[in-house]
Amino acid sequence: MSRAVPVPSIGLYLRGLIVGVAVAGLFAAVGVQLVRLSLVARTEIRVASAEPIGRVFSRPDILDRGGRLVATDVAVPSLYADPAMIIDLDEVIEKLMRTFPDLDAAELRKSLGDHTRRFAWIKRGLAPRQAQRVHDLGLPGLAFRQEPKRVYPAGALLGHLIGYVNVDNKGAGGLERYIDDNLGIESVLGAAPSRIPPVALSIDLGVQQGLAAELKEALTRYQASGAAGLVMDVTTGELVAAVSLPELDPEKPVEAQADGRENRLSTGVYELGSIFKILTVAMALDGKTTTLDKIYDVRQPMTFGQHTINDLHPAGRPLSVRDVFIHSSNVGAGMIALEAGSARQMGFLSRLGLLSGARTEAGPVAAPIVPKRWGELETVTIAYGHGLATTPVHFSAAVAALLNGGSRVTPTVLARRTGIVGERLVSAETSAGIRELLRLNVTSPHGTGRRADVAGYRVGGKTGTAEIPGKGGYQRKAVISSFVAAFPMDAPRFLTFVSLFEPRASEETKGQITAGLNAAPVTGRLIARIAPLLDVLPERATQEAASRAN
Amino acid sequence: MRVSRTDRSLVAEWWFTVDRVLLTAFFVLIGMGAVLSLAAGPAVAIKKGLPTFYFVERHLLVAMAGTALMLSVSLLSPRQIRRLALMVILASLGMMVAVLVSGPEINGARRWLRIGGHSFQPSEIGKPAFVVLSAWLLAESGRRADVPAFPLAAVFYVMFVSLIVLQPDVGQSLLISAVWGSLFFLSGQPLSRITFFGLLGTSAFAGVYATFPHVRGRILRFFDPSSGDTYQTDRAIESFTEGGFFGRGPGEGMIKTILPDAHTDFPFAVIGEEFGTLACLVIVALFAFVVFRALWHAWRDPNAFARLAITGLSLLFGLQALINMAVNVGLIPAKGMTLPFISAGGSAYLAVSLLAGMLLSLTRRRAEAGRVKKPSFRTTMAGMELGGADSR
Repeated sequence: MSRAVPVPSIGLYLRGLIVGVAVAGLFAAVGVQLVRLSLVARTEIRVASAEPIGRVFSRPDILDRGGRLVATDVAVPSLYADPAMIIDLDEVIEKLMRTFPDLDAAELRKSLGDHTRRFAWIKRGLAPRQAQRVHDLGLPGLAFRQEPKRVYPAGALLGHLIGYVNVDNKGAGGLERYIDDNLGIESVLGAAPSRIPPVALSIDLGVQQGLAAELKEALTRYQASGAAGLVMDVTTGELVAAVSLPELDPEKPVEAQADGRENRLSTGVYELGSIFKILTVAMALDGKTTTLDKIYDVRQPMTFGQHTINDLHPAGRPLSVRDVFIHSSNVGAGMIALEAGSARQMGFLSRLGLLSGARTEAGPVAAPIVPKRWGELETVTIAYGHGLATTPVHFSAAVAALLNGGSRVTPTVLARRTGIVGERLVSAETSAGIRELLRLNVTSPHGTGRRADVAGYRVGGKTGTAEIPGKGGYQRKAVISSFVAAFPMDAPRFLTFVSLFEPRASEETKGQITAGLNAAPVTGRLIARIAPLLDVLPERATQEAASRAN
Repeated sequence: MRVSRTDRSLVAEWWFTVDRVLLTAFFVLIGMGAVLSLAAGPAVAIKKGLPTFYFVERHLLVAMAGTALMLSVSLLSPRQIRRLALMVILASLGMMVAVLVSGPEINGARRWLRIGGHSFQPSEIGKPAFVVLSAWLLAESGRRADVPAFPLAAVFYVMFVSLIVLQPDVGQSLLISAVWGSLFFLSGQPLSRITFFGLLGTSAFAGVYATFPHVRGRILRFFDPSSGDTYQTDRAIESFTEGGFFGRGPGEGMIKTILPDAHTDFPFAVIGEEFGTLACLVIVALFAFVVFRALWHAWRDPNAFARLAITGLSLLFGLQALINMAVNVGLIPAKGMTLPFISAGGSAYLAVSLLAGMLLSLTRRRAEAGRVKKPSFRTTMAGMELGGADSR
């Protein structure tokens, strides 16, 4: 057999042509279908853009200073529907409404009746039992997706600090917002736990609970409209407790908008009254314009034009600085301030940070209301705590600096692992003088703070009863009564601040509404309660009595 | 590249004889695949809890290995290609039997072997080798009467396809059958024989349809959207409508986060949503260009084996791409077929690289008896009379 030269026959060319045309036809079909699909109006085959992808966030846990859980994510089922898979819309709506009466039937009908959609949330963050109940309805087209949900085991106890999160678990206020902005949160599908290390608060849940309980009791005992208090480490500025009543439940963010729910410690500014005399005396001591023993003649009221400055209980004799302090003489404080001068006063308060706004991790601390004109009258009124409205957080940080030996502290709600030494604001001698005065005000039988004493804990403190400005001037019957204290006074570790808003007079307070009769005893009870939690050892009461006798 | 014409080394020979246009087209596809792996890869990896760039890194590694494989295979001569194909098909058949006996079951099918932590699909790598050997057997059957080449080719086909059907992978067996059928049709067999085997094939398909419930389910579902789960194809279609002509923009796609295997089965849809229909049309055109460039070589090649092998390989390549794209645009039911060079995947990618290498090798210019005088239309007419009589 001869080997033929393998030339393709014409038939083969024809067959090749057939195959080629077929393949070309297939390519053309794909191309045509592509163009056809992209020409379809997007509203017709609407994806309704399917599932919301990655809009849920997982957050780090929040712990108190002792490692106790304050906030965490738990996986909860969220109910959604694939409207295209729903068979009997009426049945679905009826059964869902029976299970969740708070759903909006019209809204449901609208979102579930749209068959071009493949995804619609019905209710997010269900309890497992609710999910089981929906599951047992056996309705096609309904399904669940696990989502992280923020829960707060401490409930409303830390509400004002924690802030809250929105439905996608994104921080919307307070510390939660701080976490979003500074520590980062993770966008997740499903309910993956966060890989970010937990955030440690400076707050101690036990102390916080003690403070909240004492303030709540005071609220009923003195029929006050509100109360606020804090406990601060005087060297680090860490807030160990911070309570503003009424409390705020972080799981009910809507309440935060209600009247009277603001955080009185940091977003409300108030004229704090006589507790400002601490600052006045510190300024004069530090500027060496006075000494503790210097005598001032406080027998005559001070007059500025039509304004007259009186003492509530005139002493009727010249007073030393010590006596001005423990008798809380407005005239005396005014004279000390005038002697030091307006410029020195303004500079001193500014150095302490009292004339500008601030921030903690829990949010902004409101800027003070500073008088437009700072003349002699203002110098005198500010000396005893009127005319300059500031926040308790500002004020406490300033006093903490005066107590800790003179170093600036920056308030924080996060645990500071290492001690920080702030810039020096006043001399150690000034700090020692202020400590002596505060302690004296509690130990002296004439001191306004004597009801705050707690055996063994060397409490020192100062009262302040400030009339609340209202229509047509100050209101005699409406006051903010405050007590700022620290313990143990020989080497202060913690500062406490207690404010009662509009307390009423009662038999117990001898018909008075002054701080010495309400805020001071509350502080005493508070310190007795929290000092053991804070590892402050009591001195034997007998020893103290003996040392006082000497 | 500067290579002297007098350089007779293997590489120099290759450089002057290889079809550089086809080579460029393959490189463009490989490059596009590498870049586009960034579209679907990270989203799928995140969803599966893997490192973000797991699939991208894997794709790049496989692409490098595949390119090396393609280039080294393209250096071989047609004879060496046949031998390579024989070795590959023997290894592949052996492994396919091993898979059936001991392979792990994934998604209800046994088609993977696990080798050193990587799963390996022997039927994929066997496909181009099968096509080359079938082309050779069918070419021999047209040329020589003394060897029972056609029965051998038929037996070979039945053996390979039944092993794939047993896995069971009906999509692949349909692809293989289509390619083998085309080769059979083009090898110059008489029409009576073609009709007979065509009927046989159709009844075999009917048998498969009746025997495998999941095949029947898939086909029924495709034709009746309300009967069951068409979720994947629905999502894929939506991605093209959402993308429009110009796309949502890189990284803006949503579908890839919803489709379970966007990086292997639906890369085309992902591209459609992010880069738009125009980009998809470019990819379709590129695949078509490769197929028709190779078919043009086959058209001109006088050597029956080379002609059939080139045709078979380019059809295998083109049909696989077409099936994947047709699934993506919702023309046919879901198949689990990858898009050559674009889809993620280890053994499928290497198989396509082997295929491309074989195509490049077979389409190289060769000095051969039939080459010297190119058959014009007139000489072909004459050849038909002479050769037609001779071959009987």
